[in-house]
Amino acid sequence: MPPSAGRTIAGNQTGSASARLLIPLCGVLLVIAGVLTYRWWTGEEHVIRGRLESLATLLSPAGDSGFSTISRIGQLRGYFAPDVRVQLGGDEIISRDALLALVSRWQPPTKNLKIEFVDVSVTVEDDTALASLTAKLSNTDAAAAEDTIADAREGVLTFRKLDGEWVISSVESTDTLQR
Amino acid sequence: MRILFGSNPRATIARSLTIIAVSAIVLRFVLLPVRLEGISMLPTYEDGEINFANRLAYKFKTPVRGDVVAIRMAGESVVYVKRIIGLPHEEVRIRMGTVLINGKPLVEPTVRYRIPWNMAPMTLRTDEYFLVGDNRSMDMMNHDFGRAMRGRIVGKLLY
Repeated sequence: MPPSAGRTIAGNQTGSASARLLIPLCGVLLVIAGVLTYRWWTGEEHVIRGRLESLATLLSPAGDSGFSTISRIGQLRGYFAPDVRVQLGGDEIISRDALLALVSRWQPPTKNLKIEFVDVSVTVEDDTALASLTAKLSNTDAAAAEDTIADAREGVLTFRKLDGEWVISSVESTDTLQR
Repeated sequence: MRILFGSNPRATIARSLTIIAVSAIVLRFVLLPVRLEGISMLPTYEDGEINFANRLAYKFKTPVRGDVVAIRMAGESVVYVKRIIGLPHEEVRIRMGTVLINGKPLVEPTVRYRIPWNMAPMTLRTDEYFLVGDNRSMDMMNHDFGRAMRGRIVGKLLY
């Protein structure tokens, strides 16, 4: 047998041995990935992130009419604790009713405004959770190629469970640049 | 298909994957793309300009006065772009539109328009920098400026 033929046979044996190892290893990795994805999907952090996304949609006045404003305010009630405390700069609001009254009175400069929460980081501890994020207010003009940022503020939201639902119990804005 | 992949499809795919990998690494670890919005950095930067923040600029040296930097908020999706005018342990004050550092007027060739802003003296702590935009013709209340910790500085703008 020429020396090269021996090398080929040995190489094939090594190849099939590593292939035999690779298949169960991939299987184990897939199972781990599946378990982690399932835990993340059903975890409280995912629920809170979902609540924040729908809250941002509700807060965005894009295409809002008078009737939908009333409906929007009604839905927003479910996102805040009755004793919610909101601190924005030097202003403080200390009840859900006062906060919703303020939101309903808000006259956005344009209907094309969109609110998004970006860079969200959630920490869950038993029945409370903290979410640090940047609230981004963009102008979504259809004529423009891209949305332009009208304003952005960072803040920390505290959540607590109320009747099985995560509600916001405090909102505190943070000054990125402090004077 | 031949037009898309050329005469050696394997080499084309390898080149494409390399370009994608290198771009991903550069954009994740070296450069942060920034689109400037607003007028606070006029006339140095116009609204809508594209730039990059060099994340490696301060790996081996500290930020210096005059550098234009990106400052992160909760993350890096939205950043402020401002100029450093005050360094750690310095006293910063603005009197009638003139910036005073430790009581001495700061020469700012990049500031062309200014209205008489006033800010009480503020002493910066260790690792704190004072940042402000170049456009001082804006109302002070509409211009975000102030001090920020070193850890918030993402990088220095490339150009």
